[in-house]
Parts: sequence; structure tokens; C-alpha cells
Amino acid sequence: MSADYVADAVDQRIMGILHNDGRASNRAIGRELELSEAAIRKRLKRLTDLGLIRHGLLIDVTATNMRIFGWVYVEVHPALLSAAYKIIAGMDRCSGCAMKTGDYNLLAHVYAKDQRAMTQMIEDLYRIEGVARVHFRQVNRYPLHRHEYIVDTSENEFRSWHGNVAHAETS
Amino acid sequence: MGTRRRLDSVDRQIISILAHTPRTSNRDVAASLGVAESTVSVRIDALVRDRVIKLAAQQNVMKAGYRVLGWIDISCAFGDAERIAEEIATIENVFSISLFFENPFLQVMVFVRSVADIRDLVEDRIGRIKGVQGTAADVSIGEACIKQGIASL
Repeated sequence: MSADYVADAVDQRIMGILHNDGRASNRAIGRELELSEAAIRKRLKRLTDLGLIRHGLLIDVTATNMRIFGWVYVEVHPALLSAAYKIIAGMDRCSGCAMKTGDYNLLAHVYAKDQRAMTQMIEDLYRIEGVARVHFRQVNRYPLHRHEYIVDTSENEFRSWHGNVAHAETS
Repeated sequence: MGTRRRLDSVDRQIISILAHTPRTSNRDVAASLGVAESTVSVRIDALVRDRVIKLAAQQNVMKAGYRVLGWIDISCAFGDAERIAEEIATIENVFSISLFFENPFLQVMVFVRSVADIRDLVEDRIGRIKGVQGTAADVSIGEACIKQGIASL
């Protein structure tokens, strides 16, 4: 594992501007920071290549057809942990997944459009090889979600998920 | 949120293009949808203003040296949960706070550089908040991902 690149103050300001407006042009960022467009382009390329930032689109949950959300705690046979992680992290309705300490050794965050879809999701989890127990905790509300951050341990395969906005009309 | 106008098919097509390639120019979006560039510009501005979407660069905390994720369940009285959440929201290493219908009423997801930082958070910060009755912490031990996509804007 290579040493982590430490973003300096200028990088931090570029990331701050781009978090507020992901489509800010390099020229506009350069103007604000009193740097050349080329300097901004170079820094952005480094930040992107190193995987420190990724341009993305966030959709408000109320604009999707997702109505039920929560955390799923999964107990997997230890020898099958990585295989189960891969399957769960790749599921459409899963917005995040991690291996963890504790008697439930996988944790996933999931969304579904209704109770039926969530039931289906949990049934699917039980069908994964090695899964012994599934515990779902429905979230009432999120007092905080710092969406300027994402988490990904994989080196190049970046994941995104948009909860089927094509059905947003139903709201 | 009941006042939000319905998204029409142009809105949804714009969102779908930007979900795949967020830095696509308005001109290119317009060309692929066969509409005027000004239409695209007006639509995107409205979607962003109404907080339907946000185009944003997000930082991958793992690449910034925060190698450990933690989930801290917090037990408290039902009536204290919202206030405790507000206080925890000011802690810089907190990624998200989830509020549940049953005790432990709160789950706090944090990102830290090492497991020892979890002790600091639990003992020095969360443990000192009035009304916190107990905590139970788990940490990530391998692969983890929080995908880009949906948020409460």
C-alpha cells in the first residue's frame, strides 16, 4: 500500500468548492483561488487519479421511490465472509457495506420502496451461502449524513448508486 | 416535501445522464436529448435549487488516511435522543447518525485513523454528553464501501 497523499490547503479549498458546485469550471475555481486554470487542472487530475475525490450526482431521497431504509446486520460463516461481502456490496438496494467486529460480522445499509421490497431484500440475504442470521433495524430518520464523504477500500472499482430515479414520478 | 413538483421525462433523462457522467456540459446533454441548451440549463438550475439533485465532488476518506470505520450504538432515554444527536453532529469524525425506533436509539458512524481514536471518541466526547447511558462500538475489519448516490439534501 502506497503512502497516503496528504491534500494541502489548496487541495482542500478546491474540494470544498467542488463539493458545493460539482460543475464549477477549472477557470472559475482558478479565479476564486487566484491560480491558473492549468494549476487547477493539474491538482484535480492528481486528486482524481489518486482516488481522493470523485465527481458524482447526489439525488435527494424524497425524489426517489425509496421509502424504507435501515441497517442490516448479517452473521456470515467466517470462511465465507469475503464472498458474502462481494455479493451484498453489489446488490442494487445496498448503498453501503462493511466487514466488522462483533457477532454480526457484516453490516449493510439498504433502501427499499416499500415493506414488500424490503422483505424480498432480506429473503435474498438469507439465500447467500454462509449467511446464518439477518437482523434489520429500520431507521426513523438521519439527523446527520455528511455526504461530502464517501468510503471505498477498493482500489479502482468505484461504486455509485441512484435508487432507480426513473420511477421518481410516483412521488 | 409534498410541494415538490413532479419530475417529467426531460428531468429524469437529465438526471440519468448526469448520474453516469456528472461533468457533461449542458451543450452535450442538450445534444443527446434533442432539446435547447437553455432548457437544460434552466432544468438543472431548478433541480439543484429545489434540492432534488446536487452535483458534487465527494472525498473518499479511506484515501485520506482514515482507515477505520466505527459504528457506535448509544443507549439513552427516548426523549434525549434528538438532543444527543445534535451534540454528536458537531464532532468532526462523524459520518452519519441514524435514529431508531427502539433503544439503542442512536447509531453513530465514524471514520478514524486508528482504533485508538474510537476510545477517544467514546470516552472523551460521546461519553460526556448528558443523557448518554451506554455505548457499544464495532469497527470495520476489512473491506468497506459507502456508495455515491442518495442523500438527504
